[in-house]
Amino acid sequence: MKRLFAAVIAVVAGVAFVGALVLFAAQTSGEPALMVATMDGTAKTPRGDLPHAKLKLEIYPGSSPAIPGPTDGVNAEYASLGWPFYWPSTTLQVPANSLVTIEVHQYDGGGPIYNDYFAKAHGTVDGTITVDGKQVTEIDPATVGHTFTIHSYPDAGQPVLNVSVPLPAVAASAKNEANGYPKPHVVTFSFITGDAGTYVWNCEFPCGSGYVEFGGPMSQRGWMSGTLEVV
Amino acid sequence: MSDMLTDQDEPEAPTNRPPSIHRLQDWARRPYARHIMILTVVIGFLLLPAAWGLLAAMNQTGAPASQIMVEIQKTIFVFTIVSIPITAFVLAVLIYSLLGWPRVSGDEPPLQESPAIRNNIVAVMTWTIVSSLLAVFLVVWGLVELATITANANGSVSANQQPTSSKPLIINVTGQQWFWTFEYPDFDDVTSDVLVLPKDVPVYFNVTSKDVIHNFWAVELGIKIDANPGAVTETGVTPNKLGTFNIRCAELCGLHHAYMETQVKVVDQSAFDSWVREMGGGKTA
Repeated sequence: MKRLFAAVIAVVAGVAFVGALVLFAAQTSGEPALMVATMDGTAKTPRGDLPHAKLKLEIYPGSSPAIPGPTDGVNAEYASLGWPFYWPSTTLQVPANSLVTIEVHQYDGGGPIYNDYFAKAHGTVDGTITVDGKQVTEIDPATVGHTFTIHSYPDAGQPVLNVSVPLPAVAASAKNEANGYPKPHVVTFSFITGDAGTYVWNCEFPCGSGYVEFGGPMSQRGWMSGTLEVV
Repeated sequence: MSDMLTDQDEPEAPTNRPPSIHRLQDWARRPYARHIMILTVVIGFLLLPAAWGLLAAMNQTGAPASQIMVEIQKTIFVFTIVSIPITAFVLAVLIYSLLGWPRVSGDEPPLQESPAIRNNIVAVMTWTIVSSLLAVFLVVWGLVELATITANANGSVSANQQPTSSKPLIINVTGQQWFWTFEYPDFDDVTSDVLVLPKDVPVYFNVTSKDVIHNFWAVELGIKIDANPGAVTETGVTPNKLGTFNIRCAELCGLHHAYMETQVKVVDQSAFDSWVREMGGGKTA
């Protein structure tokens, strides 16, 4: 009887330990608050008239009093490290079977990208993006600031959604404006969503720290990577 | 303690012993030996459906799309079947030792039904020969399969197992946290995030990485090779089935490793040519 009691206690203690770990991980994950796309009527697309959703994102080279950057959960520990980040959130939600237009204000510098593939636009409507009002299909691979790259994740049984957009770097000589940041590049692009699914996205420009600059903000959700929920 | 032992526990004199085969037969008639043999057979039959389930699970993402994957699955099937009697015997001994052995209460050691089998040349020869034959079988099977797979990977054997002289399609595969890109150097360096292959044409992959170690795994094609930064690894395959299949990273590589996936589409030659033209690759190989 004592052995049975000890076995039950051991199992309960194990379950409680694992549960506590899961709870701790959830509480400290640093996943930013959900940012839902705003609807803006319908738009003509190659797939006919579709609901039109819009998102506006910004990329900053570091935090400031006005733009504190990610501070949820464990991200508070990294807030003083000067990491670049997408703002105001990296947890995005867009509607299914819709045209999604994202406008990115890119305030950060950059340099050459490792893989020229990411200097070109992929998966957008017509394969183009608009950079500072000019429609292009690619940018100079030597002056990339960041990218917005969605991964398709076909194993989940959801529609393929391969989208990758290059975002040009702000020149190192650019002077800061009143807000403490230089004048940004404004990049606009659109893509069409399929049925519901959950995707991850991240920046493919090596803008982090550590080995091949893929550590730090590149390896922590809330900074240069996040999720895209299609609902 | 001493009252539990019998005369049979004492070391046997080298003379006056019955022949080894008789002693082995006596041992096989003992209750625990019979119980373990029965348990082995029962567990063996129970493991058969489990093995079938395992093999069915291998096909959950789709049937093999290359001769290489057919050979791999055949090897897994044969090795699984061969391992069932051994697994069943080990489990039978384990279960009988835990649950079936006569027990005494308290801190006394378990009762011995009869002395251990020892110094029996027939038993020693039997398990040595059986183990050796099994090991030789596995080695020979593995070498033959490895040769077949290597020939297929190098494009020297076609999808229908006939020698081929087709020029392989070269594709440069690049892994980067957490994305695969595929460059077609024979077609104006067309680059895609989805791998598109013509059916029944040998394909040769030059695999590398831009950052950390990844692993290029085309599941249904049966190829899997490391993508190392600063180095190129090579492998090949001849896809023999039309369809859309999976590519995954099989080397833990960071935050979004689990999402480092894409698709491989095996299409007929005309569809492949159209796709290449659509992607801007005007020059043919």
